[in-house]
Amino acid sequence: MTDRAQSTLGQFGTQSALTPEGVGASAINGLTIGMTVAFGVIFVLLVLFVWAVLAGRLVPRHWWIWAGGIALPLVSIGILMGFSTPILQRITAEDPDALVIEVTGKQFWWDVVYDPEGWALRDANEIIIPKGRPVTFRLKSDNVIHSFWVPKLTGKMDMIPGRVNSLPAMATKTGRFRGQCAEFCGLSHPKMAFEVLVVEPEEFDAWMQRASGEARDAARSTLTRGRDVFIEAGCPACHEIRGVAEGGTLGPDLTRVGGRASLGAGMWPMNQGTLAGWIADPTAMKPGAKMPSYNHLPGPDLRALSAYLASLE
Amino acid sequence: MRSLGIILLTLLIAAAMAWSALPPQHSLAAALAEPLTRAQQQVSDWWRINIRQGLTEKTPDYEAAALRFYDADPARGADLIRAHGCGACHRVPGIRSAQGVVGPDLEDFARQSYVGGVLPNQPGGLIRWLMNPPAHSPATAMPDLGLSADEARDIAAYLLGSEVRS
Repeated sequence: MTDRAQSTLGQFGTQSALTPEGVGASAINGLTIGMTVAFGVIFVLLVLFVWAVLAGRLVPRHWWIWAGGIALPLVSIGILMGFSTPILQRITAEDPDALVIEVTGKQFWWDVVYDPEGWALRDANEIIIPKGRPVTFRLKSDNVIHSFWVPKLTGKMDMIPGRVNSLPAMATKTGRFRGQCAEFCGLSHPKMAFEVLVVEPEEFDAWMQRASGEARDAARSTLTRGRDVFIEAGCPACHEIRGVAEGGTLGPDLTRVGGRASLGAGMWPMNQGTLAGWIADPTAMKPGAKMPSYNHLPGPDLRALSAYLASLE
Repeated sequence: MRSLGIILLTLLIAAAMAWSALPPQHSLAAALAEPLTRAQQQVSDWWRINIRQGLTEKTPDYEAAALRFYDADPARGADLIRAHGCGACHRVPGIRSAQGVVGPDLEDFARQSYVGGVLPNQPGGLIRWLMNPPAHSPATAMPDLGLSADEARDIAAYLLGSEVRS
């Protein structure tokens, strides 16, 4: 399921609304194709009309203004509305039994809470959803306006401070679908990506069970040292690792950080090396990131800490 | 004649709009990119082998030959550098995303005398360093990235070739 080698984060071409894998996205795609065809037909007719007049084959008449300027637009827009209104209703209709996933836009990452009223599992920058089951993304922001967009899954929805927007979705195929912040939000806006992992429903239930527990234990002495560095260096002030240090909510939850495909919300491959580089100097890897540089850690401590974080899957 | 011009212009605009609507991998530019690159490569190879070498290289370049590893592939090394995210800590010439300032700048790496301040900067030393830095320098911040000997060799070929390349 969480095979990181399959990550689509580096491939922007995969992020196409023209190859939908979700109920909302395919409805929007159908509408787009329909409107493009309608536009093409009207456009060709218009060109022929202009050509006929310029070539002297038709003599302009006064009633053309009424027919082409008022009647035709009314009829064609009416037909398009007839299609688009029910589609819009369908893609925004919320299922009361849907799994609620609260996503908060941060600068420049995504805070994810599954089922905030019940299960309340916190994670970041990677969203796992079951195939064929309805989910509702509850979208928030506590800083600037972001926009949540997974083109292959469904439409785009803004995350506005002080508001809660809802975006229902249902995936029709398993896989990894790239998402991207679609509203300029600051220095690293283009570097604010994420992935939605769609898995079989049984696999999702199993993951729920597993993910609810505490973080993986530090099994070797290096990893134990890394866990101690995590606490001594003050990381828990912002970051949480369930079972080790809880309560830090300013930064991403790190309980399964090593299991994510990428570091820095879709910007770097996740491994011990990039983790070490990130801890030593986050802003060099992601301009504008709020995390301070921990380049005062001695080399062996930095290695132990990065090895520990990479082991948390 | 004028109406023909207008029709041609509208068709041109329609074609441009259709092109911009295509996904990048199916566009005309993408289709032409490979043949064009290949042609350019052939021309530059021809120039290098038939003209420039004849003008400048009177004697074989022993220095460059010493940096050639048996069976190493610097292009694969560049891919590995991207895939492992070496740029998180290092500036690496020719890798645009590699702008890290945590570790040393690897520009002109071949001219450096030591690797990590401990091993002589020769192909063998660099390969051993890349495979397990803390084993050679216990206080280093550079972690063991679990590179295989083949991977380390390709990366070393890329890094040591940087001076020769430019």
